[in-house]
Amino acid sequence: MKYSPATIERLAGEYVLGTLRGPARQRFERLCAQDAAVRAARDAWERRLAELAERAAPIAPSPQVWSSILGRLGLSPARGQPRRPRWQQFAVAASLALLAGALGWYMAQDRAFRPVLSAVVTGEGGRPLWRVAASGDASRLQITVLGGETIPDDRSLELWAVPRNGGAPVSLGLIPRAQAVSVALQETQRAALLGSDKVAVSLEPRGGSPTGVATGPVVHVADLSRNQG
Amino acid sequence: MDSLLRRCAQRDVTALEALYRATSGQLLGLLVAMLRDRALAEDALQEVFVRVWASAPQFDGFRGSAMAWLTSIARHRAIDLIRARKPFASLDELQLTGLEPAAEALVAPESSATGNALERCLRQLSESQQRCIDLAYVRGLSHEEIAATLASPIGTVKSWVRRALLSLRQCLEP
Repeated sequence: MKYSPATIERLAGEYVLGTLRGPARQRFERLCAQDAAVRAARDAWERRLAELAERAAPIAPSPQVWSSILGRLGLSPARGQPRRPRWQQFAVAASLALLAGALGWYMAQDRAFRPVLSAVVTGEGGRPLWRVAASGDASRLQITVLGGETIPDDRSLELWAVPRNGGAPVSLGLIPRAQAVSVALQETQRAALLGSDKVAVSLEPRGGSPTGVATGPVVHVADLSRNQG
Repeated sequence: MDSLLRRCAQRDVTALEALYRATSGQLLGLLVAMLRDRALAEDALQEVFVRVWASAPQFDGFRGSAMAWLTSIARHRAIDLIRARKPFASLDELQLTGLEPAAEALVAPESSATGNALERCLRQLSESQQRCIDLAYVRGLSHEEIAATLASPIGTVKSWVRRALLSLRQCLEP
């Protein structure tokens, strides 16, 4: 559908104001993705109205918001989780301390924890969803939720190594719904990961593919990059 | 602040932290005004900064200030959350639980007017038009919710909004 400049101007204003709702809002977002002139009209309204935001009185965020942001970006071990009961905070602190100890010992053994294989799985518009990183010898894999993706409760997202020789994808495990997991890879998984240039994410029944091969649709594919260890 | 965003684009975490320190209070105030739920607003604030980090390389295409860009990301996240949650059970509930307690959270337009062009143009609108812009932008209300709040027909509200936007555009870009 082709809109007149006056219509685009009106839709952009209502979009930025927030009164364009429902399917009309989604149509306008699609239009923005396709048409630079529409994006320019939208951005002009963003600039015109932005100072209205100063009408809301500032509120200082709780301290854990910043640590949660770092945690979600995979930039820090801090895993701030709001509203966690005190005993859980203690348990987390205790297990983090244990983990840090184990990590120190392990890293003293070799430099295995410097990731040499990593990928960031992105969604629509390049939004980062998860970071996947393998340790130096690919014996461990860490999956960190960045933006994540909401899926029905009866489904799970499963991560696969896609071998460059065209062999069948090999499961690397389930993607956590929040935070991060670190898993030990078995020899077949490790070999498959080292022989892959891409990882894929498929939507599976809860708990993962019952058969060992992807049964659901592949919803994301990401390139693995190799860093110099 | 613009240079902080450019440093974020180069993956400088200290720049992200400085940006967060400088803007998170204002953004959280806006998110709370729109979502009327402190915990939800703090979750949204997290998502905003995760998004800012990821999208920082696109800031240069925006041609506006860093604060305007951050505000747009925060507001659209809030509107998505408002859309995704259940509609208010009734408009009565909206009026009782939503608007009145949070009303003092809004700075009166007069006191925040530091002579900027937007506030000057807003004052040229009718009182109803001003209320519509405020309720939509700062409170995240839909046409229907504004109509209920102002006890006015929805058709009237829609035309107030349309005319207010036209006047603002003319006033801001003569």
